[in-house]
Amino acid sequence: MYLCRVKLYKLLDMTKAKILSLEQTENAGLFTIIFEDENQSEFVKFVNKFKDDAVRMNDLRIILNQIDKMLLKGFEERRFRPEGKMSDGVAALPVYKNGLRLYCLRMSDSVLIVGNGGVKDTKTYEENEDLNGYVINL
Amino acid sequence: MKQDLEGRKLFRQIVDETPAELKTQLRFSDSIAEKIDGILKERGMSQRELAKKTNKTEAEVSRWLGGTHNFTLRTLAKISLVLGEDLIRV
Repeated sequence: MYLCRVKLYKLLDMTKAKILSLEQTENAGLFTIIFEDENQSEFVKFVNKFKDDAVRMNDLRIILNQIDKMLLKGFEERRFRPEGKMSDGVAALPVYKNGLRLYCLRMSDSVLIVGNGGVKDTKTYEENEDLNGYVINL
Repeated sequence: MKQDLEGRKLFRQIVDETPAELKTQLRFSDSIAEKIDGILKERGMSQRELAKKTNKTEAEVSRWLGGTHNFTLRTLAKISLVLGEDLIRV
């Protein structure tokens, strides 16, 4: 829990972002971030980008249903794909090879901060300018 | 702490409006992933060992355990044989 707080303070300090609560259950808390001078959270931006996209809607549903399930069972490590440097704790959902990705900070089994995401159409996220930006933001 | 009401509304709306067929598919995927994970933990077996025994990559095993993988019957048969336990029953 202490490490979790340290990471959270670090994040707030470095990026001038605020944490917003999305959903809370007895077992887990889901959060997102909103950057200074912006009026939409990173999660809202992500969903709005794909909610009317007939091709990606299914991927979006899979990701959000998976998060919904984890709100009851906990954010188990095996359900995430590690991204970025291991020490950053950045992970992606789901663990598919390609397709839509949502970037998150998995703080613990009970705390998840979701950011933005997109379609991974390159071998690594670093090769895609947008995706690389989302990971760096987190 | 402030709440993201817009985000929560979008999240709930998409989850609630997910077709029953996809929800059922995800429930199956998740149950199978949990079963494999449980067996591995019970036996102290690593994902790497499972990958080796099934002739698959560690990344592939990681996808199986993610909870959203669309398993083929062939893959289920292979994992069941390696683990010595049927993953599904009909």
